[in-house]
Amino acid sequence: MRAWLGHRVEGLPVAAIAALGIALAVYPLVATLPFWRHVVIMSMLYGAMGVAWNILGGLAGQVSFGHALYFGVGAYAAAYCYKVLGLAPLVSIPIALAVSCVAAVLVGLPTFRLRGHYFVLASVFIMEGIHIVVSNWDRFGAAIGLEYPVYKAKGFADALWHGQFQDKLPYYYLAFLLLGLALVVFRAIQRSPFGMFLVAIREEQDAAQSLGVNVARCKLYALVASAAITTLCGTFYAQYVLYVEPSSTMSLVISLEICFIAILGGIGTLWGPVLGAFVIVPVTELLRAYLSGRIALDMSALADGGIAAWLEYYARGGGGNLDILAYGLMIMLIARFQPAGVLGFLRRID
Amino acid sequence: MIYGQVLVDGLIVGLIFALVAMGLSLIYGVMNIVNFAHGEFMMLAMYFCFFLWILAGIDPLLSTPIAAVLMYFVGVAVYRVLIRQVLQATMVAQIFATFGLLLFMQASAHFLWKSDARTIPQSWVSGQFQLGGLFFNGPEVVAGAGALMTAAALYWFIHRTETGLALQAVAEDAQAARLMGIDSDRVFGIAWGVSCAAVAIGGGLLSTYYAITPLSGARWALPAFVAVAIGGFGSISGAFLGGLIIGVVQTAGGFFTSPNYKHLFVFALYLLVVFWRPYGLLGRR
Repeated sequence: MRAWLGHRVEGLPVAAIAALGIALAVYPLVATLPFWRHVVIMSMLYGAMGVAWNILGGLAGQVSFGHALYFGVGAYAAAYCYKVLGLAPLVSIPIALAVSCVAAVLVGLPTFRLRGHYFVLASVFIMEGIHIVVSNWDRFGAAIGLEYPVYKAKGFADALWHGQFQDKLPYYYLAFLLLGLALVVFRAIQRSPFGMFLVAIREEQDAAQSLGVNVARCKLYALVASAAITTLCGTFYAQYVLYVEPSSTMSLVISLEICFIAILGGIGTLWGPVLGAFVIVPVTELLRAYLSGRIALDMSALADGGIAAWLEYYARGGGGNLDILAYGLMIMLIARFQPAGVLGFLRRID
Repeated sequence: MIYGQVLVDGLIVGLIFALVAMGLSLIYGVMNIVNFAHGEFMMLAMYFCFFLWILAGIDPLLSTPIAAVLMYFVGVAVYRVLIRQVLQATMVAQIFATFGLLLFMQASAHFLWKSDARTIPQSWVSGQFQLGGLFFNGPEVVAGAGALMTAAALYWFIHRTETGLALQAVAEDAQAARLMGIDSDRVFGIAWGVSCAAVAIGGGLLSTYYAITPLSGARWALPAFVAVAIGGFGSISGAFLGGLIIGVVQTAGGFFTSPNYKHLFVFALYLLVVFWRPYGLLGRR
């Protein structure tokens, strides 16, 4: 038993993993304020997406800047199925997964022939193109998006069927399960021969090919697995905020957030994205909460107030976007000082 | 006639895209870095011209050269502080360095100056005229002509001056260039400065008719990436050609369907070109 507890999964002893898991599971019972639960829900959600991105980006080395596409597919499929077709989430999840698989194959087949920046730009442009289509398509609410009709559930089973809860607690444990699922899938792939093929492709694609690895098929499978988990996260997100719109689901900023989380923690590692998510998401959520509590001053009133008025204006968040500003700064600093991510830094200390 | 008008409008817009794309391609050709924040330098130049105009009444045509000189030094500074340290890093780290810069600059503009659109309604070049049955907008024509002149100057600089030849030598083989006594670090800095100065001229010229918001630069840079890619990363003349193509495709696409969809055609064009030729039209491996 003790030997088993001391067994390490990518450097982390099983005992520590169990302790962290239990701490996460107990956390919402201690932190009863909705905001603090929300912060961790979002951290786990983004952690799951970071882990999913890492299958393709970390193991196979294919840097996708378009993963918000699959997030958006999940969110829109759930919202559309519920609002327009009246389908429960349990029914819409398989539909979302099917759509996302088809999308992943359609995106992957042509783009995996491209290398380097050509691949990165293709992933961005495909996502941006679909963003434009969705934000002009009235069936999907165009730029306004789709809002869920609020459902007053009778009992827990009914609420689960409709995927709408009054309390944050069920959402919390669903996000917890999502993160666990993503980690298990990543670990299973990482340890399988398929995972080794992916690493071989990342390290030296031509050599892998000449040794008989079916490069195109491996990349495609990695993308499909990665997209499927991201789509699940999208469905969860839609059911959680009960509102989907193009810019908060299918935008470049979301794509970037997903892969930055993986890179900040340590690209290609199991725990990296989880670590990254629990650093990035709380910082941005706290900044957002800090700013939304303050009323922005009217700029026209500033002219007579002098420097003091200007200082107050900026202290209250100025024209906004302070969260993105901090975010850009963090990205630059990591790229500049620690491209291997936080885990790479910790490993160097070892 | 309508086709002629769309073609001419597209080419005029295309000249600006060409200028933006040439700066991007210059940096890529010399040091294999895609500067995602390229448009943000343009946006800064636009705000610079706007504030000089509203606070001091200086015409954008006069402040454009000042903006270019300023942006040259901003570009060199960005190279020294941020880019030099990621030259040897992975592609992902390089992308994040410039993408972080993009978010940082865009959000800073948002924070400092709000997202309200600002315009310069009246300048020396305001007005419209008609020529051979085609309608022309004064600011757009001047911007196109200015972009063409800057592009020509850029081409001359790269192909006819000693510094330009050093740039080409470093682009070809940085190691060999170093052995020939070329200081590649200095050359990289100059490439950043020149690239940012060029895009600043584009921004200054645009400020005479284009609404200025924190996102204005990105609106011009995103299609310019397509121009660079279809021309072949690193090819200056390819980028120029790509810019003109993008201008026409975007204008025609927006005109015949809806302006909302104009970028869609540009993205589709990118995908078509790279699926057909994975290294662009004039690009090499």
